[in-house]
Amino acid sequence: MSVESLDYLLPEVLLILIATAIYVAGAFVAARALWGWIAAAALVVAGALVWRGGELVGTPGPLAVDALTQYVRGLAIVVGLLLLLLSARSAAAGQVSEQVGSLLLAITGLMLAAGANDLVLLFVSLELISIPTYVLLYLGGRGQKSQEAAAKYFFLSVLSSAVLLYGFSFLYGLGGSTSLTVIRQAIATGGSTALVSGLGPVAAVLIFAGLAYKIAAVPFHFYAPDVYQGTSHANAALLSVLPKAAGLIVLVRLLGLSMPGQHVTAWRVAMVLAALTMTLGNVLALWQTNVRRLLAYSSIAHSGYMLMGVAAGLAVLPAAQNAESDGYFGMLFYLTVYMLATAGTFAVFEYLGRRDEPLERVDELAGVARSQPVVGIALAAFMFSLAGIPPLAGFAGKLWLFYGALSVAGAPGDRSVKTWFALLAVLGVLNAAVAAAYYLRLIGVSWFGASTERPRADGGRAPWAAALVCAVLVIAIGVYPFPLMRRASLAVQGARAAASEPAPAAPTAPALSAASSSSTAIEPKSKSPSGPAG
Amino acid sequence: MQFSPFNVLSLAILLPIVGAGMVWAVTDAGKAAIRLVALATTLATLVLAGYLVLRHVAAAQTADPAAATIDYGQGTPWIEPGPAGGLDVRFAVGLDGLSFWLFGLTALLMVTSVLVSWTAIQERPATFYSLLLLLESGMLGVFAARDVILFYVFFEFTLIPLFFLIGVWGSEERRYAAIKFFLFTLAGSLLTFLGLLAIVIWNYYESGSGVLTFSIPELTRSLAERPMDAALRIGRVAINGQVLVFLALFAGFAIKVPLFPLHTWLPLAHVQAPTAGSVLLAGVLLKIGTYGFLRFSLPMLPEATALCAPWILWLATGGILYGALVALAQGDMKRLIAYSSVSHLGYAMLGIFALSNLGLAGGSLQMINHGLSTGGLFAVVGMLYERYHTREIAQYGGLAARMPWLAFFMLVFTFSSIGLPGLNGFAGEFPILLGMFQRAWSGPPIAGQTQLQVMSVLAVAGVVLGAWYMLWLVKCVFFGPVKEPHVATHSAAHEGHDEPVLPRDLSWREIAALAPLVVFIVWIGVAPQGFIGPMSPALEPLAATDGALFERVWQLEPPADARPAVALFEILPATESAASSLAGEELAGVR
Repeated sequence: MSVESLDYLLPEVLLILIATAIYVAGAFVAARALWGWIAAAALVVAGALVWRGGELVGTPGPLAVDALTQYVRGLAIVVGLLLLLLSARSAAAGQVSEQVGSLLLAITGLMLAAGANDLVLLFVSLELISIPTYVLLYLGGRGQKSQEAAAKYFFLSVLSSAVLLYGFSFLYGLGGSTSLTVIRQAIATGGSTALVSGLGPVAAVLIFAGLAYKIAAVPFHFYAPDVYQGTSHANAALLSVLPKAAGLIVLVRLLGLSMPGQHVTAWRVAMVLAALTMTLGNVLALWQTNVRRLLAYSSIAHSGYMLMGVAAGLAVLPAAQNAESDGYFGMLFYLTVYMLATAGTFAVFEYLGRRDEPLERVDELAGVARSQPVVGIALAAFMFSLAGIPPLAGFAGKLWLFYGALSVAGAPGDRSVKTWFALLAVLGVLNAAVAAAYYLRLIGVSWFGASTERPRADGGRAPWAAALVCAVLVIAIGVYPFPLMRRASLAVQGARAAASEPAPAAPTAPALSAASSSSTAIEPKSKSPSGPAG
Repeated sequence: MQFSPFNVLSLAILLPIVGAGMVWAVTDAGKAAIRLVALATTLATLVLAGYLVLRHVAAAQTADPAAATIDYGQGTPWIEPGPAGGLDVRFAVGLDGLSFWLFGLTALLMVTSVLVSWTAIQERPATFYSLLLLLESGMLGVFAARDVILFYVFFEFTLIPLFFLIGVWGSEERRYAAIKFFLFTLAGSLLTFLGLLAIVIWNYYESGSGVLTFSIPELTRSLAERPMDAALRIGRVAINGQVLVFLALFAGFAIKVPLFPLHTWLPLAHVQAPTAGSVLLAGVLLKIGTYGFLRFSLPMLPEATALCAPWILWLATGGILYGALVALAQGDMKRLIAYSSVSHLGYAMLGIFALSNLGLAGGSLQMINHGLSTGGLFAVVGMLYERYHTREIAQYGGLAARMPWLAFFMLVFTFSSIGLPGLNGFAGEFPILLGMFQRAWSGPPIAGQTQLQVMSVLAVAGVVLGAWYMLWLVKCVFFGPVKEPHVATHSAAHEGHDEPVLPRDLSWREIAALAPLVVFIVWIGVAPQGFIGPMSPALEPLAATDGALFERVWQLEPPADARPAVALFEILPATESAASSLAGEELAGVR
């Protein structure tokens, strides 16, 4: 790693230093508010650094910093701040520093994973999300159930890491290097050799399996309901956003952008997983009575929708006809609005409970909208957003996701691909209708139900603020999604452009030609469609 | 800000949202302030809507063809395409012959809704009126939207306020009714969403302009030039893509109408909804379904429309008869009127899918008529319920002696509903039946002509049944010996309640809520041409294109050059299938 790489890594370095400092100092000073404020300040500074470095695009050392990286880094910081607010009171008094530090590290892991261009760094950054998560799951412990949840998550996560590593070993075998740039070129040039055509699909399937655990896709989802139910709202919120985002982004980076020619295997796998994941998640969510278990299945279902975007993105490789029809764009935009709505929902639940007695059953929400009008409106906004009803952010997400899938179906190309994507889109909307049933049940209970007792609503102001911020964002993005769309679209275009460029002669030299790189990233690459003879 | 039609229209759509905010802001000032703000907002919106409607009527009467259409412009762009193409999403609104009466009807019925809720809503009034106003914005937006995304956003958005109106202020089974209503309509409209997206994407690839346009006029024009002929291919079977898209749109619009047998959510939602909710649901929201057919299915997918028309006509006829027969068996007033809606909307659908000038004109007018008469009926029943707290028909009798004004309004709405000549119901139903008979008897011979003839005769039978159940309702409730439900226990217990101890006849407020409807019922009845005329420039092209295609698709001996696209599916010969999958794509589309 060269010295210049540090320029790119400044936000991450800062966060890791602060996290370590909090860990160490926490042994001496047990002030709840202090560590929270320091962590928030660190995140804000890191956010400013990411913002300032927005033009810093290149591939220094093991990194690939492009518009996608910057988008995900920004997203990680926003979500990190929300999670910090959300978990403000969830840790026991003596464990605050450990909790805050672990949270910072997990966020850093997501930021690194977004920019990793090397198998080793990629693996390490994914572990940087997982290991603090184990700690958090133990810290949130309330008896046997949480022990079980933590143990379950730990063992399965380790297993999935092993599978992922096994997939990486095949990639290494193909490219002879851990650098994704080299691997991409090796696969691109040797596309038809027996080595690539034989090992490529194996690597793709193994990587899919390893990452499917992180994004809780069927059939690697079994841990999610138990773990969510067994842990705190704050931890469940973290589990439903951070690993999922990392898994999806890495999936796009590895399979979508680094393995040209392997997309035929990949989109089929993604499509099957998408269909199974969304259907199973939605159907099983219908019968849940525990709020976290319900949201676990909901998060599984949303992984299914996002995998649909991944499948669409894989199927139109190498380049989509226009930027917004790219399935990755749909996925990225959907991921953003999903994260906001899900974090907001958990914030509402956290606020409505007490630390020693959190909200558990759906029935406990009865009459909440009457006693807590703001929270009631926020919860309704999140539910309608997750269900994809306009004018909330979730609708815009679904719109562009389905637009991506149907664009594959409508674009000139292989007939069988088109039919499959049309069918997948139909399955997707049917699923959205099923999903509305359980989201409406939550609204129905909280708005129309008569409360038997006042909800405890003792979660403190921080989760309330987190819920409010999420609600405002969900409504604002829903009414006017276009600025965020533009950013997500530029991010995906930038990543596509970076992946299609020939590798620089010396991959270690950072291409600090900020102006030229960013201008190529910003210019839409779309051309008028190459005329279907009509 | 200029005083252009576009700005006035945008203001009319956005004003209720502002009003909703103001209602929320004056919550602390008490119930009276809340109601007044809500009423003022609806009246102001009505003024704006009235201005636009009058401009349309005036424009339709000018001889100058340049002034006959009102230019609403291209709208405000949200995302503009670049030089190389890209997305084109706009805030584009505009009215035309299909929509301006519905726009005006919405604004009119909103005033009625606020007035009928005046004393009926005691609980959380600020939230109630805010939601009501948001609903108005959504409904106005649906009829005015000129952009597919905008249309769909308003289309779905109407569900949210109504969901809460039913769920919070409804009767006993409100929670179940609200969720069933929401899920039913959502399930259908999500498929509509896919269908609309498919149209947009197909047009994008076929037009080759590189601009992904969501503009409804643009899409209509483009699809008229290049009929959608994509096919979805599974093995050797090629399914007509236009029919698939038609069915996807049908799913949402038919549930909204509701077309038999997709109507099961309607009686429940109507019965459980508060009066204002029932009035708007029957008066406006059901029309969104028929409007959707007129706006999207007929102009954009004419071949599929022609192909599917006989089946839809059967469903419409089924709905007319089924709705009427079930209405006969009801003991609950609201439920009876709800089933009568199924029957009446069946007429509207019958007229539209007769695909003739008369039928389309009648069907479009019937949409307005049903909004006036059924909206009025629900308002009257709501007033009765407010007085006696029951909707049971058997509990009432001879009310005409006790409440002559209420009886008078009930009678007018009933006569309008059963199609008494001189009132608007007749002006709508007569052209519908005439159009249907024309289609069945006077056109060129077509396959399944007997079926059309049977349908037209059955539809006439529906008129008789309609008169039967409505007059039976009026007879039981308003005539015969006086019989009133016991109410004393209720009113005495509530001091400070606006309720009088003994139910009285209509107050001036209630008369003001109903009188405008009666004015239009009579006006349309005596001078229907003044209402149909301004619509016909928009309807005639539909009748011409789709009617001709209908005759072509269903003619007895199809000519040799008949397009293969106008069949539900075809099985390709094995060789052709193999060859075309090897060769490059010559047809793009949803496959």
